[in-house]
Amino acid sequence: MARVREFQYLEATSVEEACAWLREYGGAKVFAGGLALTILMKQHLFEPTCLINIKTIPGLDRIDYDAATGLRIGPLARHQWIAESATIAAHYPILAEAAGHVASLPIRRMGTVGGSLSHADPATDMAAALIAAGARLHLRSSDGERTLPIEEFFLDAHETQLQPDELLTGISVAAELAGRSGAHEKLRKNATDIPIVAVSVTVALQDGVLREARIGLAAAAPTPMRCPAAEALLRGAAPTAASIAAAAAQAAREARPISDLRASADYRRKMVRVLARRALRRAVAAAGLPIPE
Amino acid sequence: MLISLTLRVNGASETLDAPANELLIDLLRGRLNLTGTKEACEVGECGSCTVLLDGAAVRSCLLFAFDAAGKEITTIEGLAVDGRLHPLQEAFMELGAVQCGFCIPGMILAAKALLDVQPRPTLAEIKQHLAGNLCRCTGYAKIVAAVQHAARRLAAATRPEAGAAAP
Amino acid sequence: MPTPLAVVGTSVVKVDAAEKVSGRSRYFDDVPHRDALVGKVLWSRQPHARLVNIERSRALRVPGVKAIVIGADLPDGLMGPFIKDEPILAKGVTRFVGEPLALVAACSDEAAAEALQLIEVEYEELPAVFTAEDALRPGAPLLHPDLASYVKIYEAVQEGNVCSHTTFAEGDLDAGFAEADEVFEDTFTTQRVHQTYLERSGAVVEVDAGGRLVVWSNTQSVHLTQIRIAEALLIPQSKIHVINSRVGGGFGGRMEPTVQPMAAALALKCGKKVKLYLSRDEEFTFGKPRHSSRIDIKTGVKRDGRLTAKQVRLIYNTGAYADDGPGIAGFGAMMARGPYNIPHVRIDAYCVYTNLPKSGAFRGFGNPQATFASESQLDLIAERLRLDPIELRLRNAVQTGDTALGGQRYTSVGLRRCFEQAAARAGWRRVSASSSPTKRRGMGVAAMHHISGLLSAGAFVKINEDGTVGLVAGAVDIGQGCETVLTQIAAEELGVPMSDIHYAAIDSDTAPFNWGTAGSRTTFTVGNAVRLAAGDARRQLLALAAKTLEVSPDDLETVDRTVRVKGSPQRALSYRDLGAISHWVSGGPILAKGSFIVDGPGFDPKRAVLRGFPFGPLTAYIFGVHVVEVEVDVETGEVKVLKAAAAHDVGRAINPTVVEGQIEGGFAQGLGYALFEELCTEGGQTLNPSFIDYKIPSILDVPEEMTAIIVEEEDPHGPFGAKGVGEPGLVATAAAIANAVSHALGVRLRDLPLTPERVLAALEAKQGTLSPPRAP
Repeated sequence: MARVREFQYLEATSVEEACAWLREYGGAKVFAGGLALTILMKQHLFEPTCLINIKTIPGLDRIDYDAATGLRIGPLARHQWIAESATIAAHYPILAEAAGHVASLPIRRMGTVGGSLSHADPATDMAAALIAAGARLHLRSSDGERTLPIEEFFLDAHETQLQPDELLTGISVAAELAGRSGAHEKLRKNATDIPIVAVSVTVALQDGVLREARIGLAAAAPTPMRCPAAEALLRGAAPTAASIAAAAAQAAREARPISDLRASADYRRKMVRVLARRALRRAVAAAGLPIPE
Repeated sequence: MLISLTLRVNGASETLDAPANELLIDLLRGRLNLTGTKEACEVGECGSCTVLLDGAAVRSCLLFAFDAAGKEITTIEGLAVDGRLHPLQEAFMELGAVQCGFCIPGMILAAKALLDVQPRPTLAEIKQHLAGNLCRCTGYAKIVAAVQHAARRLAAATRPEAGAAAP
Repeated sequence: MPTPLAVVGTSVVKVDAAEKVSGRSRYFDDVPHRDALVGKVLWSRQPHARLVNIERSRALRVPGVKAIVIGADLPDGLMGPFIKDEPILAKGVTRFVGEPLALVAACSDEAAAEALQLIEVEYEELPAVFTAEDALRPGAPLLHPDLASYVKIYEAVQEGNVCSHTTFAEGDLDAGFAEADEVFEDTFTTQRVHQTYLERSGAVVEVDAGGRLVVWSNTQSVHLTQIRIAEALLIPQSKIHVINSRVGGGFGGRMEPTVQPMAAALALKCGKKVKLYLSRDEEFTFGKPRHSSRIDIKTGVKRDGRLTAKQVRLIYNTGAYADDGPGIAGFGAMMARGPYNIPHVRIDAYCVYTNLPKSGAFRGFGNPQATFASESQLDLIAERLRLDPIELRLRNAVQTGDTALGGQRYTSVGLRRCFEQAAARAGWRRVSASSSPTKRRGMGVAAMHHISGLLSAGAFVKINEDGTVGLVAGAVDIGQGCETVLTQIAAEELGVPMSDIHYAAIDSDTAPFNWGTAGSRTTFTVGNAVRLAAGDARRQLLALAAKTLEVSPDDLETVDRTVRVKGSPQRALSYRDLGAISHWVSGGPILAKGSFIVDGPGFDPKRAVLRGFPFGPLTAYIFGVHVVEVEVDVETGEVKVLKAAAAHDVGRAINPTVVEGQIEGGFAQGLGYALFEELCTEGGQTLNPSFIDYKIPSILDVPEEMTAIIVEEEDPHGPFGAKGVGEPGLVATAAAIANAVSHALGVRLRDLPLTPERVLAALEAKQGTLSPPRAP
């Protein structure tokens, strides 16, 4: 008695093979950690005719850091590995912090970062954090590879740039973005829930001013999103209570929240402001700078 | 389509053909009659279906059987040794951590996954490791106490002989 | 101090613990029934519609489909505990989204699922109402135009969509309010929350060779399941055999049947064994959440804090069918005065039909709503009178000998001790404080009362041939521990070790009638029956020993499973001897019984007006006080419960660890009720039928420090002085948390749940009226 509709099952041994199969088998779906996908399949909401297991491709779960080239996270890296990685904590602490906020520990152990991003739920902590970190995504098809900033990857709730024949092969963060302090602030219904709203920020400070800040939001729009106007307000500004508050207010204006079971759009917008302010203050404080009132 | 699998379940090797769309929990419950593994929420939120896969707590209701190929699986039925309950099982009994019992196999296995790597967990570690296992009956107080009790008992049982490392 | 006993009062390990920690318990789905057909349900998609036609011919052609049943195929029986208003399958009209319309039995899941897709339902939409407020409006669409013709088990007061209106009135309300120095009028609301037991509901039904229905399922009462199937399908109860599996939680949700009547109808139609096992989303949409409510309270009080008068109107939205609603509304009315002496009282509770999925019993049975409202208002009163909330409550608290609403005397009241111990443990203080620039802390208290003596119960004790004991009581252990507690009572009374007693698995053929595991009644009500049966067994053992030893029973004593002649210990017969003698030599097998019913003291008609109350006398009042400390984030509205102390007067605690477990578990459920649980609907459609969107408390949500305190005010009528504790752990929790939040913020929250958004809105409303907005 099967509860999941039958499908053809393929185990890829290389990225090239996976890409070729994606093109060859229409209706095929990449199988990674299998959490969100399996739930959809059990609920008969999404029934691919073919699953291509990419866990059989060596190396896709690696987390590599090189001072010259930066960070590369394989799509199969588990959230918990990122939360526990000393390398990531040292160079991209925002990613470790946010990963530790995802669902509950067993889910963090099973769920892959690539799978989560491909699922493209707007309420994804890691997406907000990767936006704040300045991550780029690497997409491969048989025609070649393209890369794009992560915030451009998301088109709508559960809709991404990923073409049916494309595979998300990696997440990278440039070396020059390493060492930025960050903070992830999350509001949720209960301790293991997805965010009602989450805000991730990173800051780069130079000579007492903000050289750059990056702000990523989750559950504040139909997609995870970046707040360019709020970031612009901070560029070159001294991190004061006033400048931070202004940027937080701007982030709230940029948000495009919806009303749903967890909260109203109004409340979400207010919370973007509160959480952005808190995250920015904490990130600046983590960089060792006092914040004048 | 059928996939030929070899896996070890509670120490015994099993070789069988599994349909690609068979979930691990259905294989365990339906084919191996290991009904101690429970399915409650069906969507990976409650942890009742927790089993150990190579020692780590996983959701068997969201794993396809093919994902367990070549792995070592431990279910609640595999915890007792020679008919003697695991100290976690004893502690759950003795401290009154069991009410309806439906979450208990998953809860005990999640706790075991923790104690196997962290024999002296802090309260915060216990809570983090059990946060994915929901219990609607107990309010968790006695579950926490039972895990702490079992950890102490296990530590006492494995402590080196006195004097082995004199201060 | 209670007298020390051998087994009663000790925290023995629960008798079912070993099988549960080993994974060996057989819950519903753990017995394969591989020969059963798959049953599936077609659920209504309309909240209110005439069923013009249900076309099943295409569905019947699906290979593997064995039968399809629709309402028109079934006899005209209607079922329900108080009002017989509910068909197994909608007939002619459907009244909620998720109502069963048709049943399919098939050889496979796939075939059954395909058949469901092919059944064509033609609806003709009718106007629908979803709130009680709308349903009470003049001219509102009527859910049950034939309400007057339905069978009721009590003198129901009904009108329009009000299926049951209960009134309690005492004294002279106008005089009471005239006497008051201050009068408070407040309105509170509560939401629908689901029991969310972890094991889903299922039933396997087979028509046996003799034509009887054999029903395997997970229920809180095999007898209610038997009765409902009988009344719906118009067959004698003797033709129905209900057998229980282990039950993975219930909390009231499995008091009334779930899928058993449907599975029975399907099995009768196809003549084959059928299995029906709900998915989790079906549980949420078909389940029976706690009633949402709106409660208006008017209370008069003297300047010194004495309560003079209280008028309460409780409105419970029961959904499309009454189910336990009339009992819940009636019991809510009875609890709404609170454990306080108030001379002039009038309570009206209305149970109102709407086109929502039906509500039902859930831990507290109408009391959590009434207590949330009443205990919230008491804090408003304390604040205005500048009295400590505990002091206000103590000035009015009932004591042993006082009268409850309706005129019954309280026989044991440990309320004052509950206040003292909970306050001491939690470090009660009335200083709210800022713990950081954005966080404030506060403390709250709430008290509650409940009953534990309710309806009837029976028990058998049989002495086996080897002197061991079989205990047959109809009480289902849904995790709360009654198998253990009842075994302790029998062991104490019989003077045998618990290991000599086996608590029989429950089926309706052998178990004496039991209304169900509900109402915090099992320890007191079933416990009394068990004690009587065990006492009867002991007397029979003594009588047999007297006859065999040729002495008077008065000359005998029992020591360690042996009956011996006082002063001549060598003249003795062990229980083993007596078991064998009874079976083979003299007297015949020892079968003992106990029957118990709560039949008094009744309500006092001279003192109180009582109308439309669906229960007889209730007794053995239990009490509890919760004190909690919370921290509130004033920028986000998030509430964290830091600390809780819950003291409960349970009578003698038969098994203290089990009692603590009930308090701790009840508190956690109450925390979810207070802060985030809500089963939401839109247009009658359940919006969050999944653990992804319906959250229950995790281990990270419960307070770090949660102390359960047992107060033992023995009841003269309880078994060894015991009362009960099943529901109270939940009842006062939401009120205590709401009071703590209000204390922290200086603003009253009147609506559950206290979501961050709601808390922040209340805070902003207060700041808007009291102080200029802060600079950004």
